Amino acid sequence: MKTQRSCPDCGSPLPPDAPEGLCPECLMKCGLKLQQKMTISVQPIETTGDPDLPNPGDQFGDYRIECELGRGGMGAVYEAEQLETGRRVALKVLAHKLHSADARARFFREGRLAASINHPNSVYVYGTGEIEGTPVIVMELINGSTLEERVKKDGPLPVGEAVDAIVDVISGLQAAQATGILHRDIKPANCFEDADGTVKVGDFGLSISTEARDETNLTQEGMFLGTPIFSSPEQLRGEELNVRSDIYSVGGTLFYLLTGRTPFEGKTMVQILATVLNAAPPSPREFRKDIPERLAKLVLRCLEKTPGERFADYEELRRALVPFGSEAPVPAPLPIRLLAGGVDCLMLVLFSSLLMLAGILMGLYTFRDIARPPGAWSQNPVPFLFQMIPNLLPFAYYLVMESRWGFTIGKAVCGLRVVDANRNPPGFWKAFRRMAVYVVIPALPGWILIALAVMGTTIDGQNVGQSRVLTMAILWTGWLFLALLFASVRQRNGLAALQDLASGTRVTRKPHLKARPSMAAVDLEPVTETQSKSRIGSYHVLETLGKSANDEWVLAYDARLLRKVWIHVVALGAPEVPKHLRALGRPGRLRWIAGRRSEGENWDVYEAPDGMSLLHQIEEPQPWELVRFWMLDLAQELAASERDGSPPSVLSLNRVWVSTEGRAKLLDAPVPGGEASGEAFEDAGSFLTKVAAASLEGNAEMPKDEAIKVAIPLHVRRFLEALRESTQPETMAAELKGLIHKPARVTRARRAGLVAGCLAVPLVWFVSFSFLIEAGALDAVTSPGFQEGIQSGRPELFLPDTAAGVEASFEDVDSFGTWVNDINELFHHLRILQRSDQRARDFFERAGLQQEESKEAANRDRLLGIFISKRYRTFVEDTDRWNGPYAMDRVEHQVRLFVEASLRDYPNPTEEEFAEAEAAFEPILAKKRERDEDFLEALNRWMPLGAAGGFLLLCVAVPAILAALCFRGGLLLLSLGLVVVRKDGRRASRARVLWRSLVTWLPLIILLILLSLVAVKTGSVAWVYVTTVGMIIYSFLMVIPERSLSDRLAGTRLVLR
Amino acid sequence: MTTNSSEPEAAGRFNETHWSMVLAAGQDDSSGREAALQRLCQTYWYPLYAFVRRQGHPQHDAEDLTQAFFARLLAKGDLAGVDREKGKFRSFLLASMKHFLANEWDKVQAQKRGGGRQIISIDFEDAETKYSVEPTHDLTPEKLYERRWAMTVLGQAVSKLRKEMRSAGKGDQFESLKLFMTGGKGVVSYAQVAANLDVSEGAVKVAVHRLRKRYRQLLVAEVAHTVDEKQFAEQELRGLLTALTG
Repeated sequence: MKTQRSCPDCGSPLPPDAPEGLCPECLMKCGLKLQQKMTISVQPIETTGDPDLPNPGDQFGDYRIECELGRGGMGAVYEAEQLETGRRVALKVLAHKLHSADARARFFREGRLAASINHPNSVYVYGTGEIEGTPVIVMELINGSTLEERVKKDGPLPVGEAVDAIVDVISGLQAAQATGILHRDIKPANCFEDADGTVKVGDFGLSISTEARDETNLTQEGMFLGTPIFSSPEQLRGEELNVRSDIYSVGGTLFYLLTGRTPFEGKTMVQILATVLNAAPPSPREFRKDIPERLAKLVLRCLEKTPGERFADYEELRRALVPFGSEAPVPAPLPIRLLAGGVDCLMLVLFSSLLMLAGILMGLYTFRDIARPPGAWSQNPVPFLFQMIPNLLPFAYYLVMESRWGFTIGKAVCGLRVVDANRNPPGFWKAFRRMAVYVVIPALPGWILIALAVMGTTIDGQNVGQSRVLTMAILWTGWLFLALLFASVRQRNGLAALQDLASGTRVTRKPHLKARPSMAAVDLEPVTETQSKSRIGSYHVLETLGKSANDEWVLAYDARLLRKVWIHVVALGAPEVPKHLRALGRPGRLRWIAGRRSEGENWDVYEAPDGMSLLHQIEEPQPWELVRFWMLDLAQELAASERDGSPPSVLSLNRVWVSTEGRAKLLDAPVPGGEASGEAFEDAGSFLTKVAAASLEGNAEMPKDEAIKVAIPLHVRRFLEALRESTQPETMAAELKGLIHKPARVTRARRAGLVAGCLAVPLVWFVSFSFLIEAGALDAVTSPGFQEGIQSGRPELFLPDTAAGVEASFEDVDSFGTWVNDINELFHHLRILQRSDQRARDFFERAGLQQEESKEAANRDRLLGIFISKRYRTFVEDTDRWNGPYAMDRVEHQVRLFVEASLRDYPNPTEEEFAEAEAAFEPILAKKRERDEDFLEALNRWMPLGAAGGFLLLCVAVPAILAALCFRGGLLLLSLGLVVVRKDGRRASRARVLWRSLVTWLPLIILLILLSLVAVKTGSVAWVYVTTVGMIIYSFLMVIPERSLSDRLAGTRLVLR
Repeated sequence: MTTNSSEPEAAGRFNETHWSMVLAAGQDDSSGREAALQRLCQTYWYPLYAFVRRQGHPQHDAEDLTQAFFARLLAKGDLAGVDREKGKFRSFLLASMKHFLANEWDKVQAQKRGGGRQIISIDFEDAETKYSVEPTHDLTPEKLYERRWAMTVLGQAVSKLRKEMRSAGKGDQFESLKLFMTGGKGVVSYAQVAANLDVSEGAVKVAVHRLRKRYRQLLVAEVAHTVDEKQFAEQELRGLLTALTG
């Protein structure tokens, strides 16, 4: 059986007789391209001239038609005034020629679907009905234009604005999706921009959507109901649709907003269909160069032909879009960049060790090679290159990572991004310029030094590499250069260092997705019509929500739109809801739908938001993450109501509702089921302060002047203190908007970052050292001469022995390093003996006894002199070595004098004398070597941990304790935006921070010291693991709980700055 | 590079000879036209055969019917009672066949008994093999006919293109580049092909562009034979695309 092949381009199966094995469909399309011209003409079915549609000025049922807003496939939309209520609405009227039972059913169904969505980014449906036998949908009127009109009028939108608009559209669609609705007809003409810039999705499924699989969509003239250009291929093919189909249309809409044209264009319907189905869309960057490349890719990903290749859901798409929004990227503050730089340094150390280890494991070179001076390049280039890894790696590291991704590991860890003016990753040349400044300049002095050393330049007869002072001076110059690069950093240039300025890039903080956290859904079972006992108007009463002497709140069901409503039943003679309040359609205010005043019936119908009242919500303390959104909603509503003269009559906590979406709404009456009366506030400032305090503390009765005790970021505390005095809702809203984008709480990730930051240095050292030990090279590397040896012309002056191999140093008696050790040991031994001689002499003296000069002692001194003279003469006479840095460093002055005197005093000992001396001292040396070997073994085992512990102490614990004393917090806390506060939320004093540092670090320090002692004593490897496990457990104790152990002990907590 | 040298062989001879002219002239005109008509029939017999088979006629009947139909068509130049619907040879042929099947079945049976006449050379064994792999699902005889028609048009254009390229000594080039006629992305890259042919990537792009252009010309020329006027060729192509996708 043959397997069916398919076309690699369009994916359709290839027939067995496909010409040349090519896909017939694609071939035919290729043939058609010859005639295609790039023009667009998509004609909707003409409804003009439908004699039965109302005209402007007509009275149509209860509505007066003001003007026509547009015509679509199914009818026309008018701006109309509802005569009874005075409310202006958008009235959608079904065209008469579509008055089939099917079309009517569909029309109403779409109305119902749209009515089930109540979201600020979705056009609200007030109701559906029939006027003079014609089906209509009554909708919220948007005071603005569609995005299509906007683009036609002003041309393509600025990138940020286009993205903002699409993010709004996505929010609206997400709300629709939550109620199980696919829009299926997203296009710029169906997105409405409100006067305040909010974009709302409208026209739910009125065009091609539900009919996509019906072939009659394609009329004889090749016309199509709706616009196929924004429809997904699978929609055109009439396949099963999911959210990815809408995502395709969102992508097409974004394409249009960015470029002012559609992704596919064609003269006729067939052309359009063919291109949408098969042609790859052009990149929006072909039409507009300033579109960030990643954004263009994102658009194209939405427009993929295969649904599986598009974004999986709106959340993913939103996350990808947010960085391109109009909000300017935030420049990264210096401490965080410093931290990122530190992480990168550690990474470079780690990678260098790994690379060098890899070289050894692959047998490319040995550690002995590494100890050779760089001058050995010409003889053996491979070891030279490996020697240079630590010097060369930074170039590649920064260039590759920043050009490819726009971040290094350090920047990724710290949430930083390098972007150019278009918010793209810098690309090769910009990354190259950055690297050229940032890596090359600080490294320059070091490279010059290496070059000079390789060339054998000397100063005062000494290779430049040998001069410690010069080496240190040059290395520090490098650091100075690095610091100077940041001298240009100013707030006004976006905190640009020289490398940023040179490359036209900036380091910014990665934008965070600040989605509104949703609340637990509170849902009621839908009640069918027959279960309802009574009715109010055409609404079926479900239950009474609250009742007082004058009014009653009822939850009711609108059976036509299949949605719940609230009905406020008021007393006879109660005033009507004022006209300006009826027209309100803001998300921050409860929406009025309908009302009646008559002899027997006095009620108003409102939207039924899900969720619960604020007072109910704040029975438990609420996190700032939520509270700030409520405050923002309320501030925005108060600001808007101030602008259009519709402020609520009373500001009180019992008139605030919080929806499951986490949105706060103001009511013009006490909320259903709540207290009828509550504390009323004069101004917005004190009202919002109260909302914040009561919500955060979970205490509605919270006294006005009491400070908030719960942990909130310091900036929030400052904001709330200023809020009390503030009176302008407009400025409050603006400030709150800024606060939305700040982190709200110390997340576990941030606490983990703190611990990781503390452990990073020691851990990287631990890992690197472990590798080195694996390579059996610890002794070479830990030798003080290691670095000097590399940089000098004569490494043997610095190293115990490079020629014979470091591994053999303890067996090889003649080796230089061993000799130095021996000589010290012998002198030490002599000293001990001389001291005991002295003590013996003193004893005899005090006892008044005369003691003869001990012959034994004199003989011993003589034998030692002979031993030294004979054994070590060749070394001492090699003045280069004897006076070289290593010997000078290791052999004390007194010992030198003693050795030199021995050589002088016994110039020519006989063989017998030497044999006697050897018999006396060789055992001592043998014993010493044995001890050394044991020690080295322990050292090998303990070095990594020792280094890690040492680094932890030196780099982290001690600075932390010092920083606590000086600045009330170290660099790491500063970098992570954290600050130590007291229990009451005020900033902790120096003493308390110091105390916190001590309780944090002292146990660890004590633990390390104790374990080291135990380990050295027992020489057991097991303790390494015990210590490691101990450190990990300790770290978890710091991370896992909301308040770490040290915070509990110190009576502090960590909050955001 | 020009393709002119090899063009006349493929399309030049009856470039301007549309089928209606061929038919209207009848058999008493020059043999060139008859040859042209014969050639059209020779090219497009299989869609008709497939149509007849899909209508339910057994293999041998279908063979005889097809032969008889073409015999009639070539003898009379026209079949009575068939409108030249919309000026397309495709529609005309199908309508004629339907008419033929409805009215002339008996005569064919008689003919068959007397021994059918081989009018055009048809490799029926090949036809049956081809037919046996036709999709068996939901395609009506008419749809199958249109689909086969479209495939034939494409096959003609592509094989002419290949012939041209071969005779110009560019057979290898054609084999390497043909994938790009349908886009080709995702299968091979220009760079890969450039490496295979040992030319620059730019040269490959140019060659692909020329290949596509020539292919389009040939396709339009092929379709032009089957429509009344050349400007309907594009419309016909779209119709054929629908036949393929639908």
